Amino acid sequence: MRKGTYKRYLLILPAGLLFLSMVIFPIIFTFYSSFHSWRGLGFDMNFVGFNNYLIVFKDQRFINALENNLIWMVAFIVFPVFFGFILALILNTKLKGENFFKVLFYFPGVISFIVIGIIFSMIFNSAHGMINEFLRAIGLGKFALSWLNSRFLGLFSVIIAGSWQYIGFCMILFLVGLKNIPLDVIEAAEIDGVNFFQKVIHIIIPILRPVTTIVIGLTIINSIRVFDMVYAMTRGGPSQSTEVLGLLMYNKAFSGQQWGLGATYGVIMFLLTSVLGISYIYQMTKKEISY
Amino acid sequence: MKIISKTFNKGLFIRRVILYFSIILLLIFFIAPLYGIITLSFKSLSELGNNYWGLPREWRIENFIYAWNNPTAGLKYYFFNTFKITIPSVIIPVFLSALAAYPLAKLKVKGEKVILIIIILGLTIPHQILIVPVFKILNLFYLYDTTLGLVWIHSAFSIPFCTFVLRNFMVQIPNEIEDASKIDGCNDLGSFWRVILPISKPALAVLFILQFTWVYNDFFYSLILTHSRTVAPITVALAIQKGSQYSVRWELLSASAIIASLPTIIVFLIFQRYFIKGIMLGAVKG
Repeated sequence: MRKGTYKRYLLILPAGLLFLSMVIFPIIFTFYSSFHSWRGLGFDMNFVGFNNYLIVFKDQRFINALENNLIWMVAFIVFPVFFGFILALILNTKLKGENFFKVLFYFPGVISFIVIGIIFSMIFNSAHGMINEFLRAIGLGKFALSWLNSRFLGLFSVIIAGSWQYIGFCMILFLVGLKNIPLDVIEAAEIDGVNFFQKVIHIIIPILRPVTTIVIGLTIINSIRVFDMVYAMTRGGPSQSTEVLGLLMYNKAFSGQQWGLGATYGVIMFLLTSVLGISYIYQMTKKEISY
Repeated sequence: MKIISKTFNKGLFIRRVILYFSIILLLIFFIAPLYGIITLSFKSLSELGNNYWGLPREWRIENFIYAWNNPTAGLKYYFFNTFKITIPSVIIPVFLSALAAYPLAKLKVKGEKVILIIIILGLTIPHQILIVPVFKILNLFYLYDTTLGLVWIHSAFSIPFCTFVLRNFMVQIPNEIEDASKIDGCNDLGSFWRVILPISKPALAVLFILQFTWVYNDFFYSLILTHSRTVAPITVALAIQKGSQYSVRWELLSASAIIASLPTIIVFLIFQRYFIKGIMLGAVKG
């Protein structure tokens, strides 16, 4: 090695140490403790091999949580991702006030999850919430349901809240992608006489494939990670029916004193995001920044 | 690119109607919660019952004052903690990541590909899974419920994103500029400090702003790793208020939520461009 190249590693070192200490090491520790039974006091653990994993896969609560995450994933692709795309298409025209709309739609993304949780808890409250009051006011009182008190309604409500927060982000990503489509492609198509919908389906969507991969990949990853929103609105209730994997992990560890088991959920979540997010990861490694 | 074709055929007209209708619905979807929470924060409790939808009869600020001052979880106790945590958590990782991004971008480093892959994996990790070991480690170092503890974890979690963005940015800096500085006698660190870093200011600015927003809004880690009034940030205060006897006092909760959100909203409004740039550069941390 040339003299002085070791100094380059020195530059990386501080960031690397930080990363290692609070990211890499905890990951390894999580993997390690997932093979142990651990009550959480000190570091006193008993090796149990794959026992925790067997317990987890047979646990109905795990299946329930996993289903909830999958529901979240599908719902998010259908709602915020899709409408984010539509909004981006609309905003990409020479609309007056484009900036205002960008700000309006993205702005929920800069608010903390607990604030969104507060807002939407108030909206979905069954007694005085905005939705039920509105339904009663227009005479549809019988549709005034208990939005936060059952599994599917609860999930629905939390997903709406999460979408409110997320849709602006999707929109911006698609908007950036749209703005980077070379104009000559569009003009050539217009000369050939395609109408709007053909334009979208046959030109825009294929060109936007990298962006779409990133958006969908991120959405998939985020749907496994979701925690704050559910915690802020339902805490996983009622009776763990709206629990998601992240919450389950938290509950097992911090309320149940089963830290080894909690770690097992952690490992499963990690594997899920890595595997499901693989196309996203691939896209990111290929990504040459040229904006 | 014109979205409205210049034809008037019926199929298109119906599609247009649907389009406009959906847009209006979406607008309502976005604005209604905002209208709700803003008007609610200026109303008195009785108005919840008899003036639910209208504008407040009187725009009182008592709710805001109470949200700030109240003895249980008044925001005044927690507000500055948030900045004590956020500011270092922004400066440290951005600077250290810049330092690390430079060799990865411009110098030949063995194992560069591996490091990049690790960084990208770091971007996808669900942070919640780390809560148990992080909790244990902080306890070990007596850093539970301390500002330093939170700064440590927030900085560490931000390293992958910041390094990734800065590395991609630096790769684009023309080599000639750097070479010029080397000819003038700079070593690696010198080049970095005098040339690369100043040129990277746009990317650094973006990261500062995104990081500020992200750390400020953090709720999960702050909730679990702090509890005392001198340390816990404002998101924890909100959680306390929501869970306490004030959970039914919506007008107070609304006021709290608004006060707590003001810093990030103001930053967002002033620095909008940077948010969009940040998303372009990194496309993460939604």
